[in-house]
Amino acid sequence: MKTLLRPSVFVCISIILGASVAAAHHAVQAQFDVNDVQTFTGTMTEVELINPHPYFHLDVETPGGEVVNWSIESVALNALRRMGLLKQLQVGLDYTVEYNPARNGERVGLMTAITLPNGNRLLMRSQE
Amino acid sequence: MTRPFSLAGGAAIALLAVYISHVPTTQAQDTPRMGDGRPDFSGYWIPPNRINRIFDESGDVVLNLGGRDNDIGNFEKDSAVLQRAHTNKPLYKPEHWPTIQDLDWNGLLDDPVFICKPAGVPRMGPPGKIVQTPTELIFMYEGTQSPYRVIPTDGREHHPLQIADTSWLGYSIGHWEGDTLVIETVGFNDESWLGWTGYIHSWDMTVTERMRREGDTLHWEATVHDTMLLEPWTLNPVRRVVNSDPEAFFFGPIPCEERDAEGIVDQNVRG
Repeated sequence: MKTLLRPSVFVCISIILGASVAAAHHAVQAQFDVNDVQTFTGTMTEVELINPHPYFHLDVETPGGEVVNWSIESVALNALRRMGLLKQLQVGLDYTVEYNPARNGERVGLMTAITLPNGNRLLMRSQE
Repeated sequence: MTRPFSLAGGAAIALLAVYISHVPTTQAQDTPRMGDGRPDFSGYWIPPNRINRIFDESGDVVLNLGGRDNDIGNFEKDSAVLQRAHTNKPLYKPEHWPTIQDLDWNGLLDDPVFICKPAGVPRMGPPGKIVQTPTELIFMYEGTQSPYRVIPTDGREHHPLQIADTSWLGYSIGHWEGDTLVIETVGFNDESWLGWTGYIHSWDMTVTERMRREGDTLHWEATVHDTMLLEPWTLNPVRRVVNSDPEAFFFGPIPCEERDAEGIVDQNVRG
């Protein structure tokens, strides 16, 4: 399945999006500022492959040199599974994450894109 | 904004054709039948719009979420608005209106689906896989709990213990009306919701599902009968198509742990 993300290979994605359940669960606007997109690069410290949404935890170094841990929520696990992505999301590797920040100010975000160690990006929005 | 399809040349179109061969088709086709002449519902069933794929020759992957600008935030917002805009709503007796309105407005964290409990029947919709024999059908659903339902069609009645039980999925018995499979389900709890806008029900609820197969298309609708309602409520019909991928399978069940509740800053905001 890793070939799915190799350069020059066209990718076929199939996902199930049960719109009613997705919207029912998420209430993303109640939790995240969907109008704000921020970015960090960090090292994966924990992967939680759970429903309703997986969580990825990453250590990120601040401009002041402090290392802080961020929690990033992603699209439903089955969407990642259908792309064969799970084994590319590993503890100890570095990732660049784009996210909508939590409205409560905590170090939590909703993933809108992630750059994998091989340089490919997974985007949950249109490309620029 | 770059449209990924603009990157695709002739080779891409050729590859796309290969992939489309795995996309479920809805073309006219005879309805498969069992040995007894009944329609055969067996197979994997998926939403007609399930295949959402974007191709990118650089190796990037774009999850096509279907929202404006394919933005995950817009997808959630739009889904909520579209569902609210539906005119087909259950009509509750007046004494229940304050409760329904309060749950709709303040009950985000009371919605069973939000807190990892089952969606239940009928909210879970049509099954993802059906196995049919002359005397019963097995409905399987892909998801957190990977639930299944056994639906006898051998003429039996509901067992008294089923009627007395309170369960998320209820207990189903099917019968045929011509080529339509009619499923009567009883024995519900009063914890599941019919929809995310506070649509509760009592444990007196019964659900009648009607399913037809036309070629490779499955038509499903469900009607809720409940003493809380002024009249039976029929959900918007749902269509499924055969997954023509011969390698189709279900991914395994997933543990569910709700983590978002503690981060909600405004329970009145949905979508």
